[in-house]
Amino acid sequence: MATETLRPNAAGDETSINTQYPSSGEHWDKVDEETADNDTTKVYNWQVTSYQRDLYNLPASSGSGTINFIRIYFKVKSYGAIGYAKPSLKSNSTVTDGTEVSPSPLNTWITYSQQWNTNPADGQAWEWADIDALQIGVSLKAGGTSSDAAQCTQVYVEVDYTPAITEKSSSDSGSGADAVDSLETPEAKSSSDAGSGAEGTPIQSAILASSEAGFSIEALTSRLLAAVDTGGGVEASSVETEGPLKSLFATELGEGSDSLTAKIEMPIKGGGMKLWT
Amino acid sequence: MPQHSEDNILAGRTAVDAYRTAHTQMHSKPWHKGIPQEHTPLLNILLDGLKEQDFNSLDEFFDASEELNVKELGFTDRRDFERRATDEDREALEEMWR
Repeated sequence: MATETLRPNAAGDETSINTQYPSSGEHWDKVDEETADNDTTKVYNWQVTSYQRDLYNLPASSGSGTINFIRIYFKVKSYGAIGYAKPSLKSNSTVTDGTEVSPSPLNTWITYSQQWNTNPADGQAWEWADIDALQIGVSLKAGGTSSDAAQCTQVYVEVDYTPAITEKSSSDSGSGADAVDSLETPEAKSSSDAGSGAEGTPIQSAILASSEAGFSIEALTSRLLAAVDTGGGVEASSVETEGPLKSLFATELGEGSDSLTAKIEMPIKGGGMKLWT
Repeated sequence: MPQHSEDNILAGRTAVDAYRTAHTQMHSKPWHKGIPQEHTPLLNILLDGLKEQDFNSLDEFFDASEELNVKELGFTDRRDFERRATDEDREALEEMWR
């Protein structure tokens, strides 16, 4: 089994959610982060008690083999009054909304996920061509028309698949390394490619140096902008895979059941506590 | 909920604004494969800054910031706001920092 994670990289065929924050940029760039940034960037249905949907395009897949299922993750919260959300996808011109959830309690970010074992557009098993044409997104409905909103900060899809195994031909005189190589997952290959971006929780050691004393907005701003200028530290050779965010903002749910799942993050002083429902 | 000073909250807001500026700058470049991962070190810097203001998470900061907003509108806390706020108050809240 292997998993490929795909995150929004452009607007899809529908951008109906009425609000994004900050207001600059595009909706997809508010929900594309690997580690959810919660209220700092988000899209939301503000004060409208009917569903509004966004769909986002995805980068090309790199996996191969047999697709077992796809699972869409979406991190949402209710503000003002309990709102509603659904994962959405578009495949072969067919738009499908998943099961409705009601993020509760108020003002608490919760990651939900829903799995599709087959392509709802045709009822057949997923194929890689389907994945390459797939759009994912979220539908949001506010719980009221006062100061109420249903908000989303992160959407992504995981493609679970069984990698193809290359049969060695009788004329192949190799030592067997080729066969081993063919079993290597795309993730394992990409993690050794400079600049490909590891799928862990990248943290640039230099940026995270904690020896700086005191708080200076100017220094913090400089560090942030410098991190952008240097590419954010995603070079595979310069990242660590463990860090404080790993526990505070872990978003991986692992292989779950077919049913809708949710995770509530309730950080407390001194650490992060996660309750699973 | 822990009490935070107004100075800490204002400093935290500045830190979040800096993150948003960096976020906008990052997305002003053409899309490339590593962009989702490039958010993480920026977020770590922001969290470092918030921790120095005694906020242990983004959510703790945003909750405190919201409480400051409703206090500035003349309410004791969010619950009081929900109970007594007029449409005008709600519009005013929407215009405040968030």
